[in-house]
Amino acid sequence: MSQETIPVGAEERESSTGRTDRRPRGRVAPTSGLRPHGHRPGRTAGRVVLWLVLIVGAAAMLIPFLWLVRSALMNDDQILIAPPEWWPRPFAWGNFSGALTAQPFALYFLNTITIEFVVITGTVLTCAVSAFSFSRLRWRGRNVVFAILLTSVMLPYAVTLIPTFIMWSELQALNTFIPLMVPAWFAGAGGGVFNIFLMRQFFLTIPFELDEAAYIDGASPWRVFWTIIMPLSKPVIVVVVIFTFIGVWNDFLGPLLYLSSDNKFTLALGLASFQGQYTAQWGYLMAASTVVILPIILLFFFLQRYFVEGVTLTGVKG
Amino acid sequence: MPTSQWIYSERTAIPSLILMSTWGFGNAMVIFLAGLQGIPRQLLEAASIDGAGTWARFRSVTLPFMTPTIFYNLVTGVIATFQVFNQAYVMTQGGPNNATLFYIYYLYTKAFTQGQMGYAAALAWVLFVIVLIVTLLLFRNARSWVYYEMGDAR
Repeated sequence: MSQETIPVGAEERESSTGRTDRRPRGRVAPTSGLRPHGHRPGRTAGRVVLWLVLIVGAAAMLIPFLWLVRSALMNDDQILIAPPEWWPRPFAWGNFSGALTAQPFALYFLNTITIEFVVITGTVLTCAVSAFSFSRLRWRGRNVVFAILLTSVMLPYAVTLIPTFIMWSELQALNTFIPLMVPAWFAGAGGGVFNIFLMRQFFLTIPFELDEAAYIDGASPWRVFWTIIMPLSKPVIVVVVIFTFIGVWNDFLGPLLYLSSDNKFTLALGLASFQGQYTAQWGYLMAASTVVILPIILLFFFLQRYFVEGVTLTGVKG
Repeated sequence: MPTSQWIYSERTAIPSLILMSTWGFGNAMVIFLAGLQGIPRQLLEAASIDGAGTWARFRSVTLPFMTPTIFYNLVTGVIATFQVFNQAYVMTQGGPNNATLFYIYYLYTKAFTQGQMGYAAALAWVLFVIVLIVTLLLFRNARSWVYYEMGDAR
């Protein structure tokens, strides 16, 4: 092979196929996966097939949601027609007002948002502090502790479920938000360990010279954490906030165990009890479900960029 | 699609729930996306220069680099599915005729509807042992196909 066209960094490559009969193509191959090569027959066909597969996949993913919205806008007798119809006639907007007044969904929403706020704040602060300690401070046994922490992901939540429940009941904390809020302030909400892992990965990408300069100027670790690390870590913080938000929003077992009086219900729990009471009223149920899902959809819609970006930057190395 | 009893028949209840859960793989998807970003560009480039087509590149560069991510999703997925609860509670209540009486749902009913906390705690530990054994087997099996560049295994 002639050497003059081989890009920098390709010298130490190994031919995976063992074929060396290919002549290099005079230009560095772009990384988009398309070789700079004129139009080959089959290229367009391949594209079309690819698009079709993606469209079918996307449609399959969207169908349940479309089904939900379509049912939410139908009268009950039209919902159950077989074969099913896709277009509501007439549009039964009344389902929404009916469903939302049948149960105090506004109150459920308020409860959920309260829990969200406390849990997200606690999770971000405590997970960030832990991650900071695991990534940028040196202490004896640091990596061992981190390894132990990671293995705790393997621990089924069911194992701790009963003892935790008994603990909260001994502390007279049943039917309050306390059991749902307090763990988050000990980096222990749903994905606590995962969050610490994500943040640690991200912190490791920040140049250590910054910390060193600050320490030489007499800053404390706290100061470094607050004035250097946190401001530089917005992407990963956004990701942790989103994950935590969705986790709390969808949490069902937690509220189910700890909340018994219905004025304390979260949306997920309210929806389930709604289902228990209005089994036959599909239109109402679907309308209520749509309203509960909507914030998550909107959230993802607007923050999708950060979502993928943040996880990407940290690069989850399995 | 033939009309079916779906979750109302013993034979199809669990397959129906499985089918439903495939709509929930968004999380795994995000992690896969992140893993894909971690693939060294220059290797893909080098492969192209060596004349690897799309498929060959996927086979010999992308896939080996994705094995840690695949493994992570596999382990967390297995552990999570051992603890299925919500679908059983909301949709089928363990029925019809106990066809969807999943482990955690059974544990829940023992502990919180029948009040047998001790028994339920024992159930939890048994599940823990089962999950541990399965996880260890997965880890052992992973040595043969998961590829770590640095050996910084998770």
